[in-house]
Amino acid sequence: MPRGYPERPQTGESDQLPAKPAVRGVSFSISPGETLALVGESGSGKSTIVRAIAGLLAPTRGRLVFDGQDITLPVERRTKELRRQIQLILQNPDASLNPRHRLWRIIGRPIEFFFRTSGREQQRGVAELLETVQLDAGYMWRMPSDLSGGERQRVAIARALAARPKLLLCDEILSALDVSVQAGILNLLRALQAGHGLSFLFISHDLAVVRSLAHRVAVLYQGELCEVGGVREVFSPPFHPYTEVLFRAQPVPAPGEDLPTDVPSGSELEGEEAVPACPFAPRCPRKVGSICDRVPPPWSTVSATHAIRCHIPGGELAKLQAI
Amino acid sequence: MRGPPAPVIDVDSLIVDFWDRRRWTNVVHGVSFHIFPGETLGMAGESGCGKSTTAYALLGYHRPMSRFNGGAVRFLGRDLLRLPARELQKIRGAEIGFVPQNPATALNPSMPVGHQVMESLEAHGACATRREAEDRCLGLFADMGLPRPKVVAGRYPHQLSGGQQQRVVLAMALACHPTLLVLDEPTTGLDVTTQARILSLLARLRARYGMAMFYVSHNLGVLAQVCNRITVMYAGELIEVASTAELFRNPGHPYTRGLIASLQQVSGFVGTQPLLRGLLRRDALPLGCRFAPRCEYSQPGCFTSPQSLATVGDGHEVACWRWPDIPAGTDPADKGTV
Ligand SMILES: Nc1ncnc2c1ncn2[C@@H]1O[C@H](COP(=O)(O)OP(=O)(O)OP(=O)(O)O)[C@@H](O)[C@H]1O
Ligand SMILES: Nc1ncnc2c1ncn2[C@@H]1O[C@H](COP(=O)(O)OP(=O)(O)OP(=O)(O)O)[C@@H](O)[C@H]1O
Ligand code: SF4
Ligand code: SF4
Ligand SMILES: [Mg+2]
Ligand SMILES: [Mg+2]
Repeated sequence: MPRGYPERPQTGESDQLPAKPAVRGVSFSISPGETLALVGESGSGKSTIVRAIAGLLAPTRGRLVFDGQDITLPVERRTKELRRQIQLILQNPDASLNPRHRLWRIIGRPIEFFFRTSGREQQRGVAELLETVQLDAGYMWRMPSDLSGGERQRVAIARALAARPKLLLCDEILSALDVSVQAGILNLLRALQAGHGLSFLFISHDLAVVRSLAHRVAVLYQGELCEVGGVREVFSPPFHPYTEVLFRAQPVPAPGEDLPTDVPSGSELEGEEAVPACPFAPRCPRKVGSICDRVPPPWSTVSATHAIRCHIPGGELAKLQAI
Repeated sequence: MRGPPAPVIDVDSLIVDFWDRRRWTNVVHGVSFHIFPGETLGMAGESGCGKSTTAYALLGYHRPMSRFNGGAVRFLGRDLLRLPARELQKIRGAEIGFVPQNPATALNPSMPVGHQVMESLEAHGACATRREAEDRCLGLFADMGLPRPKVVAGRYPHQLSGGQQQRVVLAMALACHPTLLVLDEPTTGLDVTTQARILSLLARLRARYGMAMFYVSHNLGVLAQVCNRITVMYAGELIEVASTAELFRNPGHPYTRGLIASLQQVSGFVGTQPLLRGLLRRDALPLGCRFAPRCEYSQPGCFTSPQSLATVGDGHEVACWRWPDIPAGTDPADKGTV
């Protein structure tokens, strides 16, 4: 595998929660030209993982490997080339766009920094990037404050693409965009992948988008992976019990239908110490018994590419979920 | 004698311009609507069409480098666009709650989030004692599905995940039981489970306090779940207003039809062919119907005659002169031009 990113960051950055790091024992890899989607509820640790890969926070334990090279380094200690190759688009673009600079500077800076291009040529680059995210070239004279929410999100995408990365970490980059613009950006990402073998780590709450873009999907629950597999495999039984709940909660796009009433409550973790061995045990509709609280569930392989972490074996789950 | 109830908010021909390098550019163009007590009005539309600009106007606020260039926004009879800043300050936060599109901007980065909520409660005299304020704050955090409210309350904004920040801002906006709640994409950063939880919480609060809501979202599916009525905006103009059921049963405007069709396609969405072709280009708006360059049903006349909302049914308005000619249920994806 020419490029892989096996990693197990154990980030203990949660000061008030010494007992429970935000992300625990997570390992996965992404191949060139591949899209891995990371899904999981709010607060499950998705942004923490991408920030660790980008070197914005240091894992307590674990290793990051990129192109066969150990990159478990903070961003300041990474080489310029490495910083160019791994680009992160933050969940909240506003925080990353300098409010005092016009867009030509914001997008032009990485072009200048990484490719030493300036003047006319740089401006042409900025204009092209703006067009690829469906913004008019005239926008380069604007300040971030003169943009709508979705326009800002697209500027953040354009700036990350300016570095021509090999691995793009996308944290909820489509959530502020309507269907038409979303479809355009999705096509852009696909084209970049096909043309330049770009890899994506793609975080999204929108399962329809995940389904259409990802090759593989990793499901995160309270900082631990519970299912990993090819996109078709994850979207069909057997499901991990959490994945099953997650998919069932998809909003019904029709009026008049009632909101789901039996929505399991959010990431409730009552007792500080009483973290059960399976983090999903307190909410799991298929809980086997006290074994789930006491014994960490094993990974069971459903296929060569599909694994589920649960005390119920994959075959059993498939039978339970067949109805 | 009992007439219809007075609206909580009445927006009348609102016009907002932005300063774009050398000249004023119009963004919101003669928008009118009202919201009754206990009612939720939704607003859908493409990125950049003017939804947030309208939402800000409901607080009597316009962003830097922009101006109100006409119209009125009457909140319980008082025009917010002409109210002194001090009066406005009193209304905002207490009587009108606001959840901006980017939750981080609503939070003070240097103060634990619990303090911020309590401070807002005290500033508006909503709670007699610190204790009461704390209880209400923690109660709201729990309602939002935030894990261990006490821990969350002690954290600074940067120590929370994106969705957690969003829920803190929602809690802050709800804390004073506002008469009107303005929500700009309040659940975009949330997973479906958490989102469903928030939506049902909002429905409960609306029923309990008769709160009126203005709900902005680019996602019609979400609006369908929470709104009584929905407005659809295109390039700064309202192009359709209808009750939620009517809008889905009987969409009139070709743009609305495209939106609904792409929504229904989402389950099997492959993301290659948007049902709505093209994009909103403000620099190339025709004199007539602003949607004409993208419309499957356009005729030469559309490019020259401006369209405005006209009543087509009970509480249903459409800004398209050709709506009677467009057969119901036509898929906007196929070239149905006559
Ligand atoms: N600096 C910090 N100190 C303490 N806890 C933190 C800090 N940053 C994040 N956390 C906690 O770590 C957990 C994971 O956060 P993360 O931002 O990774 O979640 P997420 O999966 O991206 O959620 P969302 O979908 O809401 O963005 C959360 O419970 C959050 O409160
Ligand atoms: N100072 C400015 N000069 C010129 N145009 C501006 C200025 N500020 C905002 N705009 C434009 O006004 C339009 C409307 O912005 P608004 O934030 O209301 O959009 P929106 O409907 O909320 O979009 P989104 O869904 O992307 O948040 C955008 O196209 C934006 O670029
Ligand atoms: S291990 Fe037990 S509690 Fe955890 S998901 Fe499986 S059945 Fe549910
Ligand atoms: S007026 Fe003409 S161009 Fe505009 S929406 Fe109607 S048919 Fe289409
Ligand atoms: Mg996040
Ligand atoms: Mg907006």
